[in-house]
Amino acid sequence: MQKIPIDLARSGMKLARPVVKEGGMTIMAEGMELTDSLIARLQNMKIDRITVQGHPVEMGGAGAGTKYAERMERMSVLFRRYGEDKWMVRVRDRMAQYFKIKAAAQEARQKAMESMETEPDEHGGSGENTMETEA
Amino acid sequence: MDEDLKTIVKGKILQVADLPTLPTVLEELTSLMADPDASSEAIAKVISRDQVLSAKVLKMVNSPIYGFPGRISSIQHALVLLGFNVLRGIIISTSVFDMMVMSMKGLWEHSLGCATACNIIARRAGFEDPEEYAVAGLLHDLGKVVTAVQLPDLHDQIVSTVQSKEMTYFQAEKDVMGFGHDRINAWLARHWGLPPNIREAMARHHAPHLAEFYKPMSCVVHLGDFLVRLFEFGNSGDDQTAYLRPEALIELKFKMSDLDKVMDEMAEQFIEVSDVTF
Repeated sequence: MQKIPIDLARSGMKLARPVVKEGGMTIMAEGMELTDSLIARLQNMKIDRITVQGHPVEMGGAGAGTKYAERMERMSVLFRRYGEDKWMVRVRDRMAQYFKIKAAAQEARQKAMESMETEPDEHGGSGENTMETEA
Repeated sequence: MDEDLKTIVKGKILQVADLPTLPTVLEELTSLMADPDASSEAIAKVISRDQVLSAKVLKMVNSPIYGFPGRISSIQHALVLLGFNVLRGIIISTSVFDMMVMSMKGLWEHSLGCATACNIIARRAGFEDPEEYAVAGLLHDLGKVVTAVQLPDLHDQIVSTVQSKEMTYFQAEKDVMGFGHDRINAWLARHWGLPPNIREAMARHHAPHLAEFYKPMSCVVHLGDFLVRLFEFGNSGDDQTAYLRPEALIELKFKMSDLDKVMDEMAEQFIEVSDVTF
């Protein structure tokens, strides 16, 4: 997921977090797909940032939204200097395991979200329930 | 590299304090700091006079890094909550990075990420004043920025050495200059009169087991740097991790499972932190 300024929002992007107004009122639920008119409405409501799924906007090296599966693959590159070092190999394997578990959770969450979309229920809820599956 | 060159480099590095782009406020603050009678009102007044700087400082203190998102509305309030050392560290880092903001965006993000990680680690280890740890993390690569500003030729040489000799940035610095940014950090911290704990953490973040007086803070920054590289948040100048000293984990009484918790929080906060730009 990636937090982006509303000016960079495009139709087709999907919300990774609900849009909440100051004061706590949810305006748009997590998982909703943006359209031009929805973006215009958010702009009118003076919402300046939203969090969307994936990493659609290249903002210069910010790795905050990178998928865990991709991180896992990077481990061998990041630790390439320490292949002979027993301790660092242990650290690497432990970190790879962490990212693996996270990647699995992320994938499960993604699937849950996709199956939610096929249901006709447009109210969507607050999105809090799906957040918990990540923990 | 011989002593002469080192003296030249040091001289050139420390001239950074005379650059016109640095806010004059910084100098005033350093002298105010030396005065034990200086009140927080007086200090707040000096900072508030520079409106651009105040806005930046408020943006930083309200970022998720320090854990008071959006709640600090004045410099005076920030001083009371975070303390003078934290504020001064923020002023130094934003001012210095300002000179390089375009070409070193990656390093700025790496520093923000490290500050965030240090705050999380310090809280988890149960240390008081985690904000001070965050500032040490924010400043831990200051020497790299100042080298790039003051000695662009040497900086270019270091960057190309990283690639041609497949070295870490830290090794390449030693290869080119004979010493690394850890040493430069120590000069700069002394020059700007930063407190000894932050100074030692800046100078020892690559070798926390050698820290003499403030080992915990050095270990926090060491671990923070390692984890931010692991997440590849921003760019430290390397595309690989640093060596994680096991002594650092022992010092913090961390098990591997503590790292999981720290990384969970980091992932959560990085989404917000990637927003903090100037």
